[in-house]
Amino acid sequence: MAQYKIIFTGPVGAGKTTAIRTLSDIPIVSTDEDASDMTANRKPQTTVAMDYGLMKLDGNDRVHLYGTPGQERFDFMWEILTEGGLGLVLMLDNTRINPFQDMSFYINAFREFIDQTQLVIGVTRMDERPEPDLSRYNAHLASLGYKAPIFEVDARKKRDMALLVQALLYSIDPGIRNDG
Amino acid sequence: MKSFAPLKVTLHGMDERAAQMFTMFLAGPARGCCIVVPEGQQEAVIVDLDGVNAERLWLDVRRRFSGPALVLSVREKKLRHSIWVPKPIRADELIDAVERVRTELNTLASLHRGEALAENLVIAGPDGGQSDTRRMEAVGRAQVPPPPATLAVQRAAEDDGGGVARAAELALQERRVHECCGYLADEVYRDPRRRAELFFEPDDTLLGAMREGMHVAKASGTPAVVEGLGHPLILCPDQRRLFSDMREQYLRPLCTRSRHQTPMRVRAIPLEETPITTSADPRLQRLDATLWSVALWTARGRVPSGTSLDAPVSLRAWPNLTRLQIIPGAMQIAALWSKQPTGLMATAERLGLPYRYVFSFFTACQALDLLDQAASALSSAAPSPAQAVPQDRRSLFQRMLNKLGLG
Ligand SMILES: Nc1nc2c(ncn2[C@@H]2O[C@H](COP(=O)(O)OP(=O)(O)OP(=O)(O)O)[C@@H](O)[C@H]2O)c(=O)[nH]1
Ligand SMILES: [Mg+2]
Repeated sequence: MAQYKIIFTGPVGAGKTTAIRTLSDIPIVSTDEDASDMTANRKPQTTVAMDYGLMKLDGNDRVHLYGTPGQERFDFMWEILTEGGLGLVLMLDNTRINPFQDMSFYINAFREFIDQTQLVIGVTRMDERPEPDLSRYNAHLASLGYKAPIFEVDARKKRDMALLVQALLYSIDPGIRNDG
Repeated sequence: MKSFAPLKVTLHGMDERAAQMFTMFLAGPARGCCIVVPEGQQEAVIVDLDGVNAERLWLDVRRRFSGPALVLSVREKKLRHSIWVPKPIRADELIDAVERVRTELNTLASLHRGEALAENLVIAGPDGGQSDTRRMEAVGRAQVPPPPATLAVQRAAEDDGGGVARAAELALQERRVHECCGYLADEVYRDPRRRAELFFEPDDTLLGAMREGMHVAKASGTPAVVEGLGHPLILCPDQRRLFSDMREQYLRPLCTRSRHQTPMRVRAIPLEETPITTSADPRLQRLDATLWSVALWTARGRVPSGTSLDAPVSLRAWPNLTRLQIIPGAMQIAALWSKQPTGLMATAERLGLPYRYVFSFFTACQALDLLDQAASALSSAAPSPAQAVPQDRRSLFQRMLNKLGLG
């Protein structure tokens, strides 16, 4: 039985915990606590150590889904979590004050991991605020020297999250077929 | 609910005379429950399976069409995705069977409609009708092929009655793929004498008129309108919106017409002439999603004339595939062009996809201005093999894709 993992990261409230819940076959394990500080005015709960979910494949293989805590004061967890990961799903929230700054921050923080693996970006809450649009995200990513799939997603929607993970897999290997 | 439009069918396993007789039977005793249409437009097939080469015939029909089938035979037939209609054929039994197929097709259509609505989309019903209590934004997404793991498929899986629902689902998906990628077989792409069939003249199509409208709008700093279509199509590139009454059902057929057949005029319009509306107005559509779909319906497996078939194509930025109509292979092609610029023909060969998927995807990406194509094939001189992926990992990825349940 082989084990693999995918890492989800991004700022507070971007939808990491939700995304993992959407994709997981088991009830997720989460270390959410009531948010005490400034996080609280965005949502009642925040992740303090990590999220964990699991996709079960035929043949007994497992894909572990790990979510990092969004708050930067927990960044000591990040390196531990990425060890052996297949790739990074960066979740950004379009209603945050400066999502491009968030993008730069996380790409820098995970640069080594991204360079060895693959990055995809999901932008949430575009239903609440459509601006900035994806062309600006693409331009910002290019200015950081990267090219990666960037999709508009709603972390609560299975189809959106499945497409994003699919893009991650195809980016690692465009030659895979999904007909088994 | 009895006044349905007739079910569109093609007839198989009948010689010309038998087909004529049967067509008369459909129009007469069977009260017009079906009409015979050209291949490719059918919702279901009717197959006479009492001929000499019945087995071969069935395989042949199935290879071309996976949707619902009505099987005519003296003996009971239990075949996948089909309903047996015993001979001698009685009109009421045939009408019953047709009713069952139609119910499945309608359930399916409304499931998709429901899903689409849930996602804030426009999808016109089979009759083109639309409940206007629903407010939606993005017409282009209406045609996103349903992921196989939708309700409909779950229903089909639970449905042990011949799997007609599953067949209907497949037929619908198939139809959408045909609408976007056409029918051209791989041989045509390899045959130098048939080159002309692989290209279209964008300026002569609605796609061209829309592109022209975007330029006009950008140059004038106001919206632009495409006229001559029956209903105006107003382009507001600054807002990335398009305003029109026309839905997929109306817009798609327009993509197959040339500007000679349907003269279209493009002009800038003053802001005062632009209808005032809110983002909840269903006539306000996402420009990128509609332009993308129009490009696919126009391409139908072709690329704009002048496109090189060999020069490496590279993707500058990924299309927003969660909100655009997806055709099979889209993810793979995007990933390849993003990592390693590859020519059109080579892309299909390398990924094992029909050429028509690659050609249509190219046209759509180009309509959204996402591509770079090198002037010559030089830059592919050293096709750096995309990082070799170990076999065990490849099989893992395959299983993950199956799990994620999307085509
Ligand atoms: N409107 C809207 N809500 C969304 C979307 N995606 C996610 N959400 C909601 O946004 C919230 C995201 O919260 P979480 O999943 O806890 O975010 P997180 O990234 O885990 O946050 P931390 O653990 O605090 O770092 C949830 O309430 C989701 O239901 C979206 O696209 N639109
Ligand atoms: Mg969380």
